[in-house]
Amino acid sequence: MDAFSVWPEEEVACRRWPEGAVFYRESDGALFALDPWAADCLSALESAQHPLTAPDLRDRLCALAPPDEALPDAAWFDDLLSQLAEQGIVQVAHA
Amino acid sequence: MRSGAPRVADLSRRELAARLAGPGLRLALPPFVFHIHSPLPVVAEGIAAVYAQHAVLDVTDSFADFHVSVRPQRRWFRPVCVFRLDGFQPFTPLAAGEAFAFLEWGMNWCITGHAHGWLTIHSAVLERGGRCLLLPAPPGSGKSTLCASLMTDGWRLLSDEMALLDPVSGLVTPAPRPVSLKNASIDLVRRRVPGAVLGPLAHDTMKGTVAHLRASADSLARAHEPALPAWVVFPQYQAGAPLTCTPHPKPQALVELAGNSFNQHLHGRRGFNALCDLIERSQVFDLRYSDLDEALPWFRELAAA
Repeated sequence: MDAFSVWPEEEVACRRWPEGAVFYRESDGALFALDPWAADCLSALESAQHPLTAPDLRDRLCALAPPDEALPDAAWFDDLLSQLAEQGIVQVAHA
Repeated sequence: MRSGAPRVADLSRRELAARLAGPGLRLALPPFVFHIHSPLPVVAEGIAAVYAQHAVLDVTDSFADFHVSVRPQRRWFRPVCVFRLDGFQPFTPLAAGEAFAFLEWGMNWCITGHAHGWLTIHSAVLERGGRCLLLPAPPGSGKSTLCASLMTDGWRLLSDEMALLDPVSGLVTPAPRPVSLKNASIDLVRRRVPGAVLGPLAHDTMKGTVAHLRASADSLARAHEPALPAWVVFPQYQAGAPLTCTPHPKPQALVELAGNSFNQHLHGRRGFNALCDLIERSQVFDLRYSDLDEALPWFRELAAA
């Protein structure tokens, strides 16, 4: 299973608001707006300081989420991370 | 405005036409200087009307950022005119009757295509109480009508067409030029603003009938005062709609503002950060309206809050 980490600040810049976040990809100047959920995932990935798999990421968010909040399953996180990797917002650290 | 320099209004119509047709007219349009050539009477008519209060500079004692011309290319059969910058023709010819509007559009192109010291954004910009309002919007949203109405309701015009954002200071540099009105909004502004000075009508353009409204005296007098953005409002005119205002999510606003920028890609990360800072310090709204008598008080309240 792939593990993911965020690109270093020199490659991808980010600005966050409560309504979501916008990422700027240095290589071609592209901008991506992410909804708050995806932005939270990125924050968790950043704070982990080591690559995370989709189940790892879900576990981390489960620990932070209110007890009554149902999180999507690990496949959803896997899909999200794959999309973010395709957009160049996160990198595949190792498989 | 530059003190001491004559204004366009100080030139007789004959002298103005002679300069335009001969050595050219060097016009201060802060923060730029344009050197303009055109033998076409409608160009002289337009400049006399909407640039009356702008300074005319001495050709031997000043620098021009842009040397432009609008000249006839075919005089007798469906006459057309050609816009040039430094002899380069960036556009296909337009009907001769559109010559003044062509000059205005051409000058906008000169700025957005070359003034890359600023991050330029397609947006109207106005100021009140030291804070400025951006109205980025696509054609048909009523941006220019709203901009003209705000200008006559106590707001200072910084620009009808573009925000010149300093990516370091975050300030918007004024570039007060005439407001481009189209179709029904021309008569609307005439009715609402007694004494409004409009340039010549250009019929059957790609945008329909177009006329330009002179910028207010206050806007010109304060053309060297930049202002810090405080509001970004995405206006949408919709006939018959009640006035509704909803907060616009900031991440989307940032992406839309970047999409409205002519040169964000040239500024790289500094441009990204400048847009982020602009959005961060601003209140951002979607405004749907159909009645200016409802919209203008909403903007007054916004500025007073």
